[in-house]
Amino acid sequence: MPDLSPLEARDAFSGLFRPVGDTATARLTVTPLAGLGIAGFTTRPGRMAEAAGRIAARYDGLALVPGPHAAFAGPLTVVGTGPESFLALMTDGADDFAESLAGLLGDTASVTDQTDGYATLRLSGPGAIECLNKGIAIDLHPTVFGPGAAAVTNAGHINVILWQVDETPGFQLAVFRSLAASLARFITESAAAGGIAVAG
Amino acid sequence: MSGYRLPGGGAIDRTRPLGFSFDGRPFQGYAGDTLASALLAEGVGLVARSFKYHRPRGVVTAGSEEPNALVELRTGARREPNTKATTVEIYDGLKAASQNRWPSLGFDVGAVNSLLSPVFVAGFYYKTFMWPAAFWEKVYEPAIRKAAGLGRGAGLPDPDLYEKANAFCDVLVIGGGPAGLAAALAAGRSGARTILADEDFLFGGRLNAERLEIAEKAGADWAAEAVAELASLPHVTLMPRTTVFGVYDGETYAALERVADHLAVPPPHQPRQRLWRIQARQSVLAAGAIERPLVFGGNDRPGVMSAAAVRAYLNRFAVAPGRRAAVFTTGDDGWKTVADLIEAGVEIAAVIDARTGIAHDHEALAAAHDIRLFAGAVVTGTRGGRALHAVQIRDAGGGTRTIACDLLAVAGGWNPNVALSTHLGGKPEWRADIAGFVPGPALPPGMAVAGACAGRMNLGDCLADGFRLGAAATGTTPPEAPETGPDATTATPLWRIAGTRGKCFVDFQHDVTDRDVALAAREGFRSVEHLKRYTTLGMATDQGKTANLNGHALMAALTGRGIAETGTTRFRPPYVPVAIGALAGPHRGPDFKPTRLTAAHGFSAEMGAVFTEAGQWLRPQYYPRPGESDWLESVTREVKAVRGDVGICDVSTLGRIEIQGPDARHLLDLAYCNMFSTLAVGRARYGVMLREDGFVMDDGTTARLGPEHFVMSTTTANAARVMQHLDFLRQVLRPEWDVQCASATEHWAMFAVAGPRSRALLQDLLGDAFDVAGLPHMGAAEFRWGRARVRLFRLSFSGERAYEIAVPARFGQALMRRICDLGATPYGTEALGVMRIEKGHVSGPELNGQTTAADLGLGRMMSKKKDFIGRVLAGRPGLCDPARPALVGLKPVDRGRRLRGGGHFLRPGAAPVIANAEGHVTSAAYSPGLGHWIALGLLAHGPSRHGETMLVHDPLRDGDTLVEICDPVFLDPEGSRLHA
Repeated sequence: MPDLSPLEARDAFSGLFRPVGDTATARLTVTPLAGLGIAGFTTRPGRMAEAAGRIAARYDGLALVPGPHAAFAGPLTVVGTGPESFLALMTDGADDFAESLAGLLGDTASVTDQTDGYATLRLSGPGAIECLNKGIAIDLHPTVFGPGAAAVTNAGHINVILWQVDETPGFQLAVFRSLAASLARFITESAAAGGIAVAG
Repeated sequence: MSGYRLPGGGAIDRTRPLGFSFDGRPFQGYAGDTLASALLAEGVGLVARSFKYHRPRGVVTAGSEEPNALVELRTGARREPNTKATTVEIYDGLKAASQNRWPSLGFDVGAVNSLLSPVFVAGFYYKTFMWPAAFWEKVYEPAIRKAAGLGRGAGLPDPDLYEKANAFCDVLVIGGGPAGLAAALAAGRSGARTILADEDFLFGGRLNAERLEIAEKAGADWAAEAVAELASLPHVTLMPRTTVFGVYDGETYAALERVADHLAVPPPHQPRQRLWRIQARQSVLAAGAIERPLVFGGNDRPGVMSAAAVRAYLNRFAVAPGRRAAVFTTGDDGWKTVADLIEAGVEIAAVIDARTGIAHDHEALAAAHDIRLFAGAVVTGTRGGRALHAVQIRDAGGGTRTIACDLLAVAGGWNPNVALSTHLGGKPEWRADIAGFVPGPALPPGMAVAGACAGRMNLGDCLADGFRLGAAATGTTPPEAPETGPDATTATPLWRIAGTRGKCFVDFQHDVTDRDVALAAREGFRSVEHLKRYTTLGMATDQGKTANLNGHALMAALTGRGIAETGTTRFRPPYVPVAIGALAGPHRGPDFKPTRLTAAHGFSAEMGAVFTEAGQWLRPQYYPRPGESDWLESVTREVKAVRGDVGICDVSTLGRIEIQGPDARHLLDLAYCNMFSTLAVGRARYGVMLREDGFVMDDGTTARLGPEHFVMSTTTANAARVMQHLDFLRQVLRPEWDVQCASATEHWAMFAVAGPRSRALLQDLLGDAFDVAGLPHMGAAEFRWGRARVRLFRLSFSGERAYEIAVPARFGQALMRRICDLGATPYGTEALGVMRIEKGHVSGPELNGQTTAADLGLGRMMSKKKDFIGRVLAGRPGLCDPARPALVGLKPVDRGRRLRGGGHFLRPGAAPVIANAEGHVTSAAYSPGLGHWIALGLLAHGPSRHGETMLVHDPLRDGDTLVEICDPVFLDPEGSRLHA
């Protein structure tokens, strides 16, 4: 009788990042994020306000703002990715998140499980903007971008969803899982000169 | 020439001597030297040979406008040709070599070209080598190619990194001379995000090269203080060693930062060069001006140098470029060189001033230092071989004199450096008062021009301009400009000196002489643009920075027009040569494009898979095992394993699109040519999608997971295109529909499990989680299996009983490993291809954008009960013509022959010309089950020609093969294996 235990999970960035230089003085800290529940959703015609209301009621008043913005409330982040389209990320409950979000939104939106569709990581430290701007042609200066700003863009030819989480500055990136190795290479090459620390 | 280092002064660090070599000879310079200044200090005057005539050449300038002193830098894989010695910052161990000479710089056989100069006139290649015609390819072209070009590439992979980066600012200041420093100070002090870029490693521009005064301080000291203040301002970025080389739409500027060119090897992780894309709301162009040469006989002799460059070498580098100097000037500017030579203690043999009325204080200066002054005189020739020995002059009275000297400083006036102002089409304007072109009114958006670049040459004007424009760019009040010392810059233009001896060069780098310009005028190439193409004036690495105006002025005189009317050429990016490596940045080799890896990539690699590229994806092509001699053996084994037992193939690269909403079924009916709204929940259906023009776009299966929830499969190649297509349909054609689409390709790892044992294996795998036997052919189910949500489809591409199983990607690798542990043989895209050809299924080579559904034998799928994209145009007579090539199967008449894709069908005996071609072979494979090669093809009237014999004509490979036309389904046409 074969073993029927659940399959072993493999994180998208597993083994892809190594510290470079003296990590105490590293200008960039990379934190691969695993265990997030991720779902994409598109609101149905005319139901945006209703969908936003349901999310706000469940998640601590999180405000769903159309456009390139990220909104945060406790464990949930919602990033605008296109017309009526959003990416929602939940720091706990990976396996059930898409299902529970679909239950919450009901017929106000169509939800697609993307928990394994995106590899996500956090970049922080004084070298974060410098590193990102080696591939991203968007002004990330605090007077222009700043916490809560988001962009669907590309980093060195790699499609990325980028949003700023805090003033450290800290950024979060989501890429198609299959591109995790290419993104890791872009980040490592771009930030190696200033040193890289790997957290998480 | 016999230059030497002055005992004191200069912006060099005498405590840091640096050793370097030129053509193998060891030399020494100091930190702060350029290769040119260090060579001049060591008495080296001959540094290069010219392009066409191989004439000996020396250093003419002290900047990036240098036309002569091009050298090869470094050795081995880091060798870099055509580097300007005037811009190379020396480092310890630097190795430089001269180029375009053989066997040596001193004795160059190529100099014989000078004797043949009547042949090598402008446009010679249009006029010579015409006869005999047969000689062109074998003799003339190879010989010309051998002689052409300057310097040698390394021919080895570049070992260094190159980087790209983006920068953003409110104000970009281009050029760090007095005007640029002032502009950056004004902008920076206001708190605006300011970038100051200068191609030099030392900011200050002419302030370092001249003995000027600002606020009762030496100009160089004022510059150093300004730089210190700028460095202290938080929003100011100083970018030395950075050349802004292009202006583009949308206030975008391109710049090249030479991060590590001044080091032997870049430090760890540092690039050699960085390509910047700078987005600037405003820019201040403070690119200064370039001193122009004068056109007289032998004006290219080593030892003839720009008078301003002489000052730069004296003042900035503490180098006297010669021991006995003559100065030839057309204005007051050259008198600054006289004063600086006196100050440096260099003997002055004569001052030749082309003007007759010379200011009294100049005359007094000459008299005080016992210098012979020739007013109203010109230089008519030079003497010497590889170094200047003497100049010939014609004095005001017409008499000829010879003056011994080893340095001739030439001050011909200044040309504003307008290049960047013209990149977006701006046309320079002639200003007679300064005898130069200045940027016209049509400047690139956001750009203002300051100082000498705008024709305001005087130091006080430069500072005032910089402060004013830097403040204007930020909407602030300009700071008061400091007092400046005297600065005389006037010059009277002197475009050509009559009655001179020897070649008079206009463009040093391309060996264009005044005679070439005259020839172009005679032959009708009178527009400056034609002049450029015909004579190559202003081409090459210096883009005519020193040559253009002299050439255009000569043309104006020859054609009896004014210079304003004759005009000048516009410049195009890049301002200075940029290495291709810098433009490519990190995107070379495997990083040329991003690579997409499936979740189970690591496992396939562990199993020894050979991968093939499918767009950005890497897919396992086949899995060779020890003892297998070639790919065919491995693929045959994999096919047999699937047909006889069970195999697993990673199909995660297929596109998967979730389609949800009440109108999801309508969207599918519109997109596919066959009906989908009738599909039952829990079932899947094969679908074909047409383009609007009636040709097939893509195929795949779509399953219905719920009443308002479908999941569509696309081919790997068309995944993104189909997604765009669906978005177009729902957003543009049917905005009233309530339907949402999302790509879910990346969330799922999906595997085809195929073969007679597939059901048993999956049942073993899934145990109680799912009743595999209960899933009918074309059934679809979604269920939970431990933590994983699983999607299982019973679909077959191979013709065997087969399933596609999908799990969230993080479990993909473990699932493939588990299935292999249960005995499945991994197979790749090759075996997949063999099996689909055996079954006559179409794929990429048949879905080539030129085939209709009917061509592929799928015509009956086109629904007559509904509308769909492509319906109307698929009915065009041309697309319904039965003579169109349509899908057939092929077997070699001689079963031992191999078939290959690409060959054309001919009737046996027909001439092998394209008019007789009746179609082509699309896909071929060796069928292990049949024991011979088989193929699919598209043949005119194909379906009615089964049993006919045709010739496959393949002139590129192993010739012609007779084939038998047959049904495209070679194996199990009844589908009994599929339904087993």
